[in-house]
Amino acid sequence: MDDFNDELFPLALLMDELKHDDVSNRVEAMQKLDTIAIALGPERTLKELLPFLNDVAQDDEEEVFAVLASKLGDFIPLIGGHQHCEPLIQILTILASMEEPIVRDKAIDSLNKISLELTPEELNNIFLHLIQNLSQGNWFSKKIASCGLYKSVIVKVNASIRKELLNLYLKLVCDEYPMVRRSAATNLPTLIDLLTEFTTLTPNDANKMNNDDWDIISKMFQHLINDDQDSVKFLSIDVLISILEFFQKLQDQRFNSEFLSSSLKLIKDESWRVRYAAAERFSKIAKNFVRNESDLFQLIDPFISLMKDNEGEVRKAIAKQLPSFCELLVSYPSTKVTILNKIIPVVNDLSQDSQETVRASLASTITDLSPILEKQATIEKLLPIFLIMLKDEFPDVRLNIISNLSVVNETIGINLLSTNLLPAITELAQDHKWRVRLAIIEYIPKLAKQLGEPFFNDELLSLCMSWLWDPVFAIRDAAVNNSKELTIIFGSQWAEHEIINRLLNNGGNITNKKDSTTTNATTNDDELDEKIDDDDDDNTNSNKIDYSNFIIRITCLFTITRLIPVIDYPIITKKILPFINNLIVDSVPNIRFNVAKSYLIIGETLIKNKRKFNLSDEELNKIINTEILVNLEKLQNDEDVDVRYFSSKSIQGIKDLVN
Amino acid sequence: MLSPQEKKDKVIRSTDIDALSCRSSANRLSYFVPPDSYTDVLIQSYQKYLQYCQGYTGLSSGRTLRQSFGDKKFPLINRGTYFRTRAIDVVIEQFIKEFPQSQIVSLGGGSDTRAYRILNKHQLVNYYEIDFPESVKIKKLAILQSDEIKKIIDFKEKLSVNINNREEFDLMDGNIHTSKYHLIAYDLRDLKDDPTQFNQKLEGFDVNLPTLVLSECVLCYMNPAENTNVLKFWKDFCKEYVSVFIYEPMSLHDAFGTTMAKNLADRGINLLTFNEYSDLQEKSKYLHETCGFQRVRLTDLSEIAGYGIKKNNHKESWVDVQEIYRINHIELIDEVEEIRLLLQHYCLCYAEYSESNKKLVGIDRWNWLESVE
Amino acid sequence: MDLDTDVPMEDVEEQQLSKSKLSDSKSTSNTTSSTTNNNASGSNPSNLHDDLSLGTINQLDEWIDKLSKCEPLSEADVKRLCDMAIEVLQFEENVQPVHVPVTICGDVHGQFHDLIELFKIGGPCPDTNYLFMGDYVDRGYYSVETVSYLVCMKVRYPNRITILRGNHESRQITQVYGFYDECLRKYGSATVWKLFTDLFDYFPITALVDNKVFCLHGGLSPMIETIDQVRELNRIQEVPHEGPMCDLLWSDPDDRGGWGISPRGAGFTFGQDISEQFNHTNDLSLIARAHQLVMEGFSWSHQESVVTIFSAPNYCYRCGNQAAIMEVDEQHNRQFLQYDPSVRPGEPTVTRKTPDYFL
Repeated sequence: MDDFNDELFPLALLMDELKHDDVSNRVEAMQKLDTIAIALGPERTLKELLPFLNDVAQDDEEEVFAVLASKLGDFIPLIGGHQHCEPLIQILTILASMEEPIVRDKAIDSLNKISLELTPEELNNIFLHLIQNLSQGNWFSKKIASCGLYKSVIVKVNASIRKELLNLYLKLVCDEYPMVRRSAATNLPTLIDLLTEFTTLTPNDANKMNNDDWDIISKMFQHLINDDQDSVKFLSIDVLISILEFFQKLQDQRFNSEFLSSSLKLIKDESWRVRYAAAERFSKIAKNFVRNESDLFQLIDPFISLMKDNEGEVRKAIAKQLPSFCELLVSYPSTKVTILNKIIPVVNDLSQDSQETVRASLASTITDLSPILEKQATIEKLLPIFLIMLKDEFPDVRLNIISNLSVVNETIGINLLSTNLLPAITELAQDHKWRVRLAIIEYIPKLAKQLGEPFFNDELLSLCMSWLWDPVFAIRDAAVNNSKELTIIFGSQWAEHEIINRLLNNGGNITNKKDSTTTNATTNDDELDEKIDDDDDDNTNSNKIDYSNFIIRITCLFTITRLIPVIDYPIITKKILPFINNLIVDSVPNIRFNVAKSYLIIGETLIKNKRKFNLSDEELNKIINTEILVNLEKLQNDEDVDVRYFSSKSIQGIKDLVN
Repeated sequence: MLSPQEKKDKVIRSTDIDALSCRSSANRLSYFVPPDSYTDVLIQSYQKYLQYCQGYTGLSSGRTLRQSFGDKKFPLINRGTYFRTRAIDVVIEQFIKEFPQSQIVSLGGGSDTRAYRILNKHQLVNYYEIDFPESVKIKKLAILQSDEIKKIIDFKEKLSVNINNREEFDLMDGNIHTSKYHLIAYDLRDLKDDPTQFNQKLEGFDVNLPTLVLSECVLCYMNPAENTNVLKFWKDFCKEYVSVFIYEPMSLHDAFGTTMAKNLADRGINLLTFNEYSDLQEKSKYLHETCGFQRVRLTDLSEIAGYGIKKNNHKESWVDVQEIYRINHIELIDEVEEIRLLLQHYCLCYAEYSESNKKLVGIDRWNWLESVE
Repeated sequence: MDLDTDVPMEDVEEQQLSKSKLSDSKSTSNTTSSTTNNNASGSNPSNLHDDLSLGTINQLDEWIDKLSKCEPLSEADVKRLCDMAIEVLQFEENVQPVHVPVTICGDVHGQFHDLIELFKIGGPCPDTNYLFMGDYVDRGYYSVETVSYLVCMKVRYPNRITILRGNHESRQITQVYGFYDECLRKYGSATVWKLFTDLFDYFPITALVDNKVFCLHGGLSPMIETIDQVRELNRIQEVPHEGPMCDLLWSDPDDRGGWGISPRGAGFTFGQDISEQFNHTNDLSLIARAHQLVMEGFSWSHQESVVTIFSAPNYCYRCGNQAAIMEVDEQHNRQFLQYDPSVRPGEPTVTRKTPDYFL
């Protein structure tokens, strides 16, 4: 457990630590690598530490390698500058050639980082060599590694070397191993983007992109979209997007029809993975065709066929693209009408998709269609779909709709919405997974703001109250907090009528005093629910809370206490203080010491809000002395040590505030 | 640096160190009576020579061994190791009792010492051990260190091997052939390419003798096609009577099995038939229908160790009550529910094939949960 | 560092002997003090000594804060904590009286994050009263943090939480099942292990909830017919290999009647006849115990005269089981709350050792 002295951590100690049997120790030791290098100084780091690390890089486990790989990225200053980079690059090359992606990626990142510090000459010699060697490496993980390194040189070399590099990369794109082709395809968009930036920023550079370069890149693209492995082919979509963006930037539309047919080919590919990738990026592709009405029009049917795809994953992905694609369609009248005529009917089908994840995905975006469709169409076309989805049996679907309703609210107003919300919320509120219940509770304040008080009171309040009696503490606690949030929204009066009075049984007394006799043991799995009369229609006497259960009493106390800082003075004195005073003789010590804590919060609130409450010093002192301190002093002599502790603490706290 | 395939193989070979450390742990605690005196020789050989094996250096070999042999094993592992060894022993003893002049072939047995115990007891048995070249070298180097084993296997050569570096280790010949014992360096996955090359390695093998082929957690690392290849090879190769005797994990497609696959994958171990033949029924179907064995018997280890639920009073118990009592009192065990779960996920399968209708009659002395005639 | 994991057993035996000699005198005075105290109202053991000093409380709160983030205490702090804990626990009884309402929990086994999940389900201590029935250490990766946390809570809120001894709270078992090795790994020496295992000797072995629910880790013993006989045991010692104290921590209920040999090698199995007789003799409504992995987190036996509660979800990170706790309210109503492993996205798995399998 000892911390190492950072200043003097000799190499020997590191070597020792790196021999430790426990891999977490070795990882920890490796994490101090930079400190050690600093302590050793550049010369010893170069002559002693690096050779040692070179051995370590061939003889440990991935976790250690990963740390080593990322640490070495910052090593240039520690070895006395870029001119000594070679041994460093050598170690990172070993790590970059490993099969484990975490190690490889970190090593590649570090190599790319180091490349930024090298002179053009060093880049051309050392780095270029490295890339060439790895690209022609004897097994696939070397080639995979090489793909990630081209980006550090591609715009820094002259046109002829660039052409060489692109040709080398073309070989990787056509490699016999799918893993290599995959890596090449993954890294290609970045290379094209760099070249795009280079071309647009320096249009007159002597080394600017020429037709030869484009020939090679277009060969790569042709290879990729015709690859026999879908796991490679689907990556060509990002390549396509990068190419499209290049020509878009140059405002060059010569190849548009060619690109459109490539796009359509990929969108209609027989492999679902490819279609999935196309669906996921549909709007990104479509964006590049929006200048031409007929091009855009040609994408509508493919879009619809993806919505009807056999594969659920594809439908799930395309559902996410709905708002962004429809937004593009608004550009021309001819395309705009297809939203209502062609797309919405399919959305309707999708809302009843057989797969719940598809429906959940649609639910998270469908509400965004409402501003695009505007009020009338939203009411006529979308609302019925929302209603179906709000009744969905899968909680995520309902939750996604509910949490995105505000945008619909802005278009059509809350009244039309609200009547249909309730069944969905009620059902989520009773989900057997407590984290689902928690999610809906946390959304309630947002909803309350949208719905307004009368509607909330009529329809959601009793639900909020019922969460207070949930068997899981985390839910009760969220419900307590919810009451406070609602009070902030609806105000103190509302809290008094709707929460406090209910919890106080309209002023009735909490019954469980000390010495009350206990009934015989019975087994009952659901006692909390049964103690609360959940008859919603009758707000009068039948709704009394049975305080005989400790959890109910303490939850009442928690709720009331949480409300104190956000309610008005008269409620505190007339309702809350008497309620709390009553509890100082509760039979359960846990209640009594929480009462002690509550007094402190009352004291704090009164003192803090003295002005706001229009409270004279005299009045304030009177309450503090005669109601709060007196009772706390009683509790200070309680038989239970915790009650004594928390009451003393509260007394001290109040005294500190008064002074 | 290792290529990906070499790395996977290294992980598979390293499971032998696991198995050896389990045997050594159970042995140290006197689970085995009489104790296994050969295990230590194997450990010493690993201590000396693991550093020369592919993917190891002095640093990492020391670490690997300390980790495997330094950490104490949980009692459930000791008990499981005992019951596995014991169950396999009793079946092999029965086989030798009915076929005294016979051959035993142990596939990928690594540093297992069963061969020496059996050869010490039974004069007429011819024993073959086949494993990765490296594992075989470790074993041969151990044998050369032990006069006792040399005597048991009838090793007469006056051979002193001096291995002091990786190169010498690489060049060393791991094979041993004596009148009754054969240690053969061969990667069984190569069977699919050229079985005739393998035939030639089986010096002194008599296809007309009854043969038992043993696989203790070996076939499970091969893919289904390689599995079938190996099993069918032996079935077709032996002319008189052949049985395969398999001990390996199965997923049962339950929460425990799923977690097990995930945990092992984290260590780089893929059990390629774990879900494919996931329970006794599926395994039985595979051995009978796919591989063509005639009589098949299967049970799980929890049944053998007495944690099973089904009781069949007509059958002999795998381990007698007094012995179970002795075992239960070696270490306090607080993992009764867990050991049952774990052992349920290991099966023991005996499958035989004979063109002349020979049978291991005594196989039904014990209760099997699943059987095909 | 070479680990010398084999602490010679003779040492342990010797420690035991000297300890039991010492504790003989202690336990007699203990019995007298507790009987006299029984007449006093409340009979809270913490009333015997004064309220904790403010400095101590702040120290404990700081430790609790640190531990709740799953950061272990320093060795010196563990020493101070264990000294304080002995002061509290030595005055608790073999059959520690506990009042309702209380939430009763089973094995935790070093699964610290799942313990935190437990408090999310049942509510935080001290607001909720807890009774843990042993097995805080071994098997999970955070035994040190788990037991430190619970002991800290015990010292800070002795009336709010009761921690019984499980069969894993022992020198011998922790050397087999991981706590010893974890201490070595996390502290570099066995000192912390020794401090905790010495402390375990003081843990009460059973609790009695309002004279109605008898709580203990394992089960009944053929040598114990009445709860008073438990009160007469000298518990301040290493868990013995046999005898009544061993049985209370090791036994299991069984479908077969009468007493049976336990497959665990310690304790016994006991049938419904035994449980019913015991409950009748002692006027109990229920025996609550832990000790066995049950896939649903709780499990009734013997026609609801015995309940098993197990609070370590996905036990050993590989069994796939649910966990549960049991709330007993002031009217002795019982409610079971089940829960799954805590969700910890992004938790690195690299430092975890693969659980053992046969390979």
